[in-house]
Amino acid sequence: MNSDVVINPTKTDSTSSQKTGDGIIKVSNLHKQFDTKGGSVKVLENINFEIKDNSFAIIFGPSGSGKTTLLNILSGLEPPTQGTVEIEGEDFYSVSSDQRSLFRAQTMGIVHQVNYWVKSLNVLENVAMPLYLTGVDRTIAQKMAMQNLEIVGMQEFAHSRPLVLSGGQQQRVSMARALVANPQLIFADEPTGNLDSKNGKMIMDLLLKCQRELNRTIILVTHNIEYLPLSDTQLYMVDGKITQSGKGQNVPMTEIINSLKSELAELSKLEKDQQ
Amino acid sequence: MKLRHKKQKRLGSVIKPYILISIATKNLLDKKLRTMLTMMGIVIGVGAVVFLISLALGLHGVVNQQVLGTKSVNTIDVSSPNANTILLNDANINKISQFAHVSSVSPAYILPGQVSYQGSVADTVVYGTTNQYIALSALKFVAGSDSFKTNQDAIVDTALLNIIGQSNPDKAIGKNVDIVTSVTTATGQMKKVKSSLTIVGVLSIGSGAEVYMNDQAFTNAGAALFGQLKVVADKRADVAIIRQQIAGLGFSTASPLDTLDQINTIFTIFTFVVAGFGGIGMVIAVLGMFNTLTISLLERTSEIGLMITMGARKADIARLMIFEALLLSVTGGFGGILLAYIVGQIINIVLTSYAGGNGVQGTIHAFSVTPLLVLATIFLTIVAGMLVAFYPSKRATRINPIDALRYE
Repeated sequence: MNSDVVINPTKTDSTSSQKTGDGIIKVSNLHKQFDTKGGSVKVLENINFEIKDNSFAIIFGPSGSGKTTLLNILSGLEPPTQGTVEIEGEDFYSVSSDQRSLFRAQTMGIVHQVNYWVKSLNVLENVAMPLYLTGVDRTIAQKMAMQNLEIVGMQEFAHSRPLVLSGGQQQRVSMARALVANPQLIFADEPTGNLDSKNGKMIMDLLLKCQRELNRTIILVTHNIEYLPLSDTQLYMVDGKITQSGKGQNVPMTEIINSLKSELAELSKLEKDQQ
Repeated sequence: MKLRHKKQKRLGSVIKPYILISIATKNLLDKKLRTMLTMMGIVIGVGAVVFLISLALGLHGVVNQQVLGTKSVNTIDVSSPNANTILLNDANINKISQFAHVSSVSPAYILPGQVSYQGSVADTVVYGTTNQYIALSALKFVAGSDSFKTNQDAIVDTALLNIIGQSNPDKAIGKNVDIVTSVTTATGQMKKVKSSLTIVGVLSIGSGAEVYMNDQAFTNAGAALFGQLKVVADKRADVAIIRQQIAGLGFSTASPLDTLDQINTIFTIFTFVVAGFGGIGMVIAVLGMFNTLTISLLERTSEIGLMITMGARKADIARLMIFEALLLSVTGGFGGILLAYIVGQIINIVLTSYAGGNGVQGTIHAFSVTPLLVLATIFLTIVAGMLVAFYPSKRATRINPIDALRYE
């Protein structure tokens, strides 16, 4: 296994944000807090890591650990309170939100856990939307969208409204939309969280294919420990911090057990509450 | 990958406008009933404004037509306020004709006289003039010719025919009349002028008995003073300055522009008043449109968040909202114009038909939808659309995509 990840969770030196050659994402001294009526809530604390090009990275951890917030910051949607996110050596948040949007349209694909759609448009137009936003003509955009729908086996629903599809079908269409602009970076936030095993496997196979055959970089947020062996980079988060990290399949089993315990504890608490 | 687009410091929208228009159309059609009701409001609002303004314009036209008839607005009527001291003679007419931008001058002798026809004698006003003067007078002819062919031709009015017992204008054509009048020569002598003339035309003036005849007989008799002069200016804008110059010689002047200006002032006020009434409907329609767009924005908050996560920029979102507003306002505007035009035309047809049944000839244009009114209305609907879109589009560009995705 290649050493694709350089992790130092205890590192606090924010001056270490230098160009790293083939590193596609470098996060340094990242902090995020939200101001609420009850005061500030620290969501991310002193996050440092680097993900290299063509990696399959998994951000793993219990609910409320800050995984989705980290993903939002990496995709340029949520500015950090402190620290930097470098994309190919350039500070992502030193440019305007419009420049980040254009960059996102051209180089990032995002798959959400919940499916969002422009409801007035059909499946084909929804999938073509990222291409529209980069200035591609409708005919070309829809042709490319159809090709991507064929990849996920949803071409027959191209002219249906997305909301008439099942959850699994919607997630496959969402996957086609994330891939249509041929992005270098694909962010997936619990993409299989609401799916049955068959659809979940299809989504994961697609993500793996993107990484291995198309040399894309995948950053996946998940609860599912089954997917850990598929990744070559793992970031284990608890309470807004990266407590463990690994390269290849080296996340210690103790962390996985801890995570499972934490999930079970949450489930039993829920059960008690319901009773 | 390039994070910074150095050549594109100010990033505009790169999404093709036709795609944005298509998305905006589909967004509107997605809520058909709401869109239709909003658009109906705009159609009625714009229609009310156009209908009332077209009524004001139509009535303005009808009044102008009735008051001015075929009179040229470039014509100035010149007369002497005191015929004994301010002389409307060849010398002064020559001076006036030399003024800049005077196109032509047409004098007329206006004298008291008597007309004899088959033993009947009546008092009349005799005009000794030219065909040009008659043409400039915009007289309404009811029979025969509207000009002299020979020096023995006469044009009389229906009032005169009634006095001499010939009530049918067509039967009067070709009949002979004798005219007797007196002229004052340059030396102050009175000289009687007798003429035997043939009626070639009959006109309807509505006032007293009048006869128009060629001025040659008066000129030959040595008549020195004219009763009236018609001065034609090169163009409408020259009328005022020529009038000032003529007034400088001591003469009185009158112009159709005096009446026209008064009519214009009254109808400008009238137009604003009726537009104001129509504008109330328009304001309600615009508020309805604003409400629709704001609700639509709230309903689509997560969609806008989604578009931002996919790479839409502020300009893309703002333009989408603007296109939706413009589609509503401009389509509604065209509908309103069409509605007002159709209703106005129907009323014009009904009025014309009713007037025709009462002996009034010609078409009545009580409602007039002019090209300028159409263009101004379209321009105003565009402005209204832009104004209505301002707040929702501004708000849409401030949406935080993460909050927006959680909105539902």
